[in-house]
Amino acid sequence: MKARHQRLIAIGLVLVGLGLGTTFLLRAMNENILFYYSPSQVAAGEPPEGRRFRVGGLVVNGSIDRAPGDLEVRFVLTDNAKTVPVVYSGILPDLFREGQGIIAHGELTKDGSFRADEVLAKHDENYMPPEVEDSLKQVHGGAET
Amino acid sequence: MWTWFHKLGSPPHFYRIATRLTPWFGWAALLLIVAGVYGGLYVAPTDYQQLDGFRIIYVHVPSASLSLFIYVNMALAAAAGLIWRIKLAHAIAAACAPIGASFTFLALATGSIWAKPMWGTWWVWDARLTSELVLLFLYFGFMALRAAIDDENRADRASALLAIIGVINVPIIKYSVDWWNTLHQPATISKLGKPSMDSDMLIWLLIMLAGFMCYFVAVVLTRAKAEVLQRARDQKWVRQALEGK
Amino acid sequence: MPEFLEFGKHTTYVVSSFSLTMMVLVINVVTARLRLAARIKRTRQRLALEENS
Repeated sequence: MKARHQRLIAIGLVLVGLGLGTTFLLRAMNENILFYYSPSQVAAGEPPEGRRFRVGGLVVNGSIDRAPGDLEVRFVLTDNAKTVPVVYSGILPDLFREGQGIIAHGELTKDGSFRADEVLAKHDENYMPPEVEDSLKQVHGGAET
Repeated sequence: MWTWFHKLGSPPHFYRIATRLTPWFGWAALLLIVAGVYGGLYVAPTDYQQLDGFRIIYVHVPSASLSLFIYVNMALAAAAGLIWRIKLAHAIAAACAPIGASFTFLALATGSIWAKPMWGTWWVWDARLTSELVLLFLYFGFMALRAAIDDENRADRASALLAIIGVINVPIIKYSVDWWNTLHQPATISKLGKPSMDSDMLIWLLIMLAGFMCYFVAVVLTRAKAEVLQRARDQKWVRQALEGK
Repeated sequence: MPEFLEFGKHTTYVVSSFSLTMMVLVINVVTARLRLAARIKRTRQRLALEENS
């Protein structure tokens, strides 16, 4: 009786563990197919209407507009083809800046702008000291002009 | 070759070697980790974007690497135990699990602490973070299964099976950032190509990684010794090992 | 906060992640050593019992 009991518990634990694992994995994959839409996709009307979704893109240089004495921020996201204006009020991540990759979660409003209630920064895998970055910029700038 | 294999698989031999090696790895780990923490916090330059916040990488990346490395080791040991019926291999697999679980926990916790200021959230359900969480559950499942079965041989076999099945999660974690669109950025250090990190920063990360590896060896040997003693039936060598030092 | 633990605006995050890591590393070593010591003690008792019987 006791041995069988323990065997049952063990099998149950394994099943629960495997079930939990697959659930989480499927959930992650499922959400990742739709993890975010690009501004072009938004312009083409791909995101489901009336539902909340994520939009991802780069913050357009000079587009950040902060009303004084207010938490509300307006900025424009681009994928270098189409743009989406975003309105957000709340605390921005440290990495939020012009040219930064951003993922905003919220919904489209009637006037075509995106009302976000969550803004996340996506950073890249590069790490370097500020001096190195400066010299990289100079090299690139010199080569392009 | 076979004598070497047999010698390696013999508990008395393992116990002797483990006792001799543990202090070496332990002291090396202490030295490397102290150097790595000092270098990572005070010598390495600040990052151009994340400033001092990037220093979390020195505990986050080694923890995450070790969580995967230990799992692969655990699964290999479990497989060897299952295939060749080596008790010692099962003992090593059992010794790996709690250490691996603690590194997985550290990878998740330090990652979360890092994500809050940089990404703007403690947690997202992206493929990298989710699969690492599944790894933690795999470690827990392995340990729970062992604890739930009284008979040692059956516990060994059942948990080994779980460890081997769970190995599919390892490549999923590793390549999740390439296969899916994740919030987590791609790997900084990969085998191919040069790392996307300045060498003044990278050196301390490698030292920290080496320190964590030595640390793992020292702790897993200590734990495996306890496991081996627990399984020992032949008392002659045990007596020798405990008294005739 | 002493000066050597100042890391700009990310002080709390850096210090907490490093100290959490060090704490877990120490706990791991201590539990592993305690476990081995307890096992050695129990094995000695078993050997002594077997010798007497």
